[in-house]
Amino acid sequence: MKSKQRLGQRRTLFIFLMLLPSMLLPLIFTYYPLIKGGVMAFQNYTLMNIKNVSWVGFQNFKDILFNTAGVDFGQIAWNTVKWVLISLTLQFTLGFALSLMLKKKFAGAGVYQGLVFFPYAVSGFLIGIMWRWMFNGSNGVINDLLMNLGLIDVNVGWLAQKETALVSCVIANVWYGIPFFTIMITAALRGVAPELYEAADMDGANKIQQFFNVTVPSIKSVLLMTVLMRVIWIFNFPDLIYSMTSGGPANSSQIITSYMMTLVYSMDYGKASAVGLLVIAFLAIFCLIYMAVTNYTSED
Amino acid sequence: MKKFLAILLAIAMLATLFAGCGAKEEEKVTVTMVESLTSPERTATIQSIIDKYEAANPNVHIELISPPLENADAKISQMLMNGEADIVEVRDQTVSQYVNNEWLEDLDPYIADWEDLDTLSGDSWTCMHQLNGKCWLIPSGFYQRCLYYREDVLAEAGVAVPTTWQELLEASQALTDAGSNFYGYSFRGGTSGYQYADTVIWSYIGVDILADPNAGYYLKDGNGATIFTLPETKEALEYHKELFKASPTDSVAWAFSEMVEGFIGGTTAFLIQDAEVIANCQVDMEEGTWNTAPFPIGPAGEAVFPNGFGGWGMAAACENKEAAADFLMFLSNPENNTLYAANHAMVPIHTNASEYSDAFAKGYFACYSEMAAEPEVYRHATQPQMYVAFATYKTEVDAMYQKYLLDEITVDELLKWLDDFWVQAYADEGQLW
Repeated sequence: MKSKQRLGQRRTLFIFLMLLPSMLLPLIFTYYPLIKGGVMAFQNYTLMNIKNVSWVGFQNFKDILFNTAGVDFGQIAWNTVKWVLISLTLQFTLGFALSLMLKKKFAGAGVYQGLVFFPYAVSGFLIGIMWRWMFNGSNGVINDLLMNLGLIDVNVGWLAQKETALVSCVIANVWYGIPFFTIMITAALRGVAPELYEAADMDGANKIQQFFNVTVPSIKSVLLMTVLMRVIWIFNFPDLIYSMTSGGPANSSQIITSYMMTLVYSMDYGKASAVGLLVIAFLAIFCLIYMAVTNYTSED
Repeated sequence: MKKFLAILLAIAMLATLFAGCGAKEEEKVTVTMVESLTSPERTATIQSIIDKYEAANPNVHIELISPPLENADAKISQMLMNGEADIVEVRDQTVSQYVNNEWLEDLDPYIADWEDLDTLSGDSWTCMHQLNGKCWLIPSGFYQRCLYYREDVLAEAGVAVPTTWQELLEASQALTDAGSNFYGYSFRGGTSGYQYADTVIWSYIGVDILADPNAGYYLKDGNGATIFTLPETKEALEYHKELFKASPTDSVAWAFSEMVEGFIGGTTAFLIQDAEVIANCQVDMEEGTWNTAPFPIGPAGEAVFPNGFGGWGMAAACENKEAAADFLMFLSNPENNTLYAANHAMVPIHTNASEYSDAFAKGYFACYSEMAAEPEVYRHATQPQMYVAFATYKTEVDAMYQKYLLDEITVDELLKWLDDFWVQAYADEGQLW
């Protein structure tokens, strides 16, 4: 009896030891930084003087939300909404269109697919630098192209004007994000049974009717999931903005996460952590609303 | 037999133990050195000096760590925090942080008997003791600015090389032809653009009015009053905006690479930059199409700019302080420092550098000799970087200047913002110079 008990204990210990790495890694690399960030959000934690860290209550949040940090948070939040909504809409539409084209088999489909997916394999910062030079107001290829097409007479400072800085970043982001939707939707489309289209055809449904009544309902769960994931990723994607405009000019292309990066580079970890907590709160609220509106459940 | 084997084994183990002790006695001292402004060429120069030192001091090994430029300072902070570095590269932008956090060792006791102490320049001495009167680093050289100009364009237009800010503006306006995509000046309005506005302001008000050249926003005996209340500062900022108008419109977002590219690529006629750009111009521009001139002089009769520097400090947690200090003095002796400065377009730290190289008195570097000959005109000041508030200031000030340049706010609103910020910093942190 005793030896059976000991065996059971040993087995439990063995299972625990085997599971330990998978429990420790998230604890160390996910939850510890999260908790540490949560703590720093309520401290005047700056690398300029870590010998003098103290609790400041909600001061960091107050400074950020009520513009006492010298930055108009309302403008940054509105920029973030524009950045997410426009990028998402264009990425989704163009990505969907591309995946419909890729659904059909044609000569060179593999090469074409590789070319479409290529941008997604490149780092965000690298893409930002590439587009920054393409949009350069003096020597950029985009001005040159538009000039040769006769669409502009003088060079446009795309990244230097308040009206065009964010739009330029969105264009780069759309280019970067299309492959994600294409990959996900193409995979989903290939799973739709051809019999459904045959049946719809027999019922006299045209291509548009088939699209809305067969294609979309069949891949609805994938669409809902990819849109949700993409919103979170675009929201958390300051790399492009930081490398293209650093949020300028005059914060006209600053979004919440690029502002957080600016604070990190200024060594103000306290305020940066406060912005981080705000981001988590915004995204959590968005996810709840999104799932309620779309009736998204785990069964989807 | 077993007993015999056990004794034999014990003897063998003891012998190994003693052998280990012997090896430890002769073990090399390792000094870990981390650079910040990493580039392959620069690393090679430093390594060549290390090789010379190691050949003369076989019991010391200098381990050079060269993190990528982009995150080198963050890496150094991390290593200093964990006590993993012995010698670190300290820059004008990082020295306050390292000193505030007590990560650096005061070098004064170690260099008191340094044979090359007498030949250190006044600028070197000031930079070494700029915080709390203690020696936190030995500089490796200075990044001083000069005026780059298109010799061919000026000759063709019959425009003289500007010597003052006013002449620079007039020449820039005369040469600007937006229709041909050619502009007078390579303006910097993007990251760190405020530093350029500061040089104009200081050249308008002069250095003597400042509380301290290292706290260049505060007035002498002003009890925390700032330079942003002076009428000359307002004039300087109005001038700054005029200069922007004689530059490409997108220069409101230009940082280092764009402004240099604007000059080298043939979009602008003038550029103000450090000497490191000379190497870029030599590679990409034809001889005779460009040249360098001294920094422009302002209405105060002075040309004032920060004496940017890099240097080497010893970590407070360093375990081999004597060895580290000895290497630092070797690295910074006139011969090695001149080699380093000449290879990387910096102003050397010793007054007798010309004995080791003539690179600083001729060609494109001649303007630096001209400026050095008139220290009462070409002077240095810098932002009050010793304030913790400076870190916040850096993240906000460029956007404020951009708002001013783009007519979102007036010059008075900008001045009020600047004044309020630094009055508050003084109220919070007190007098730190």
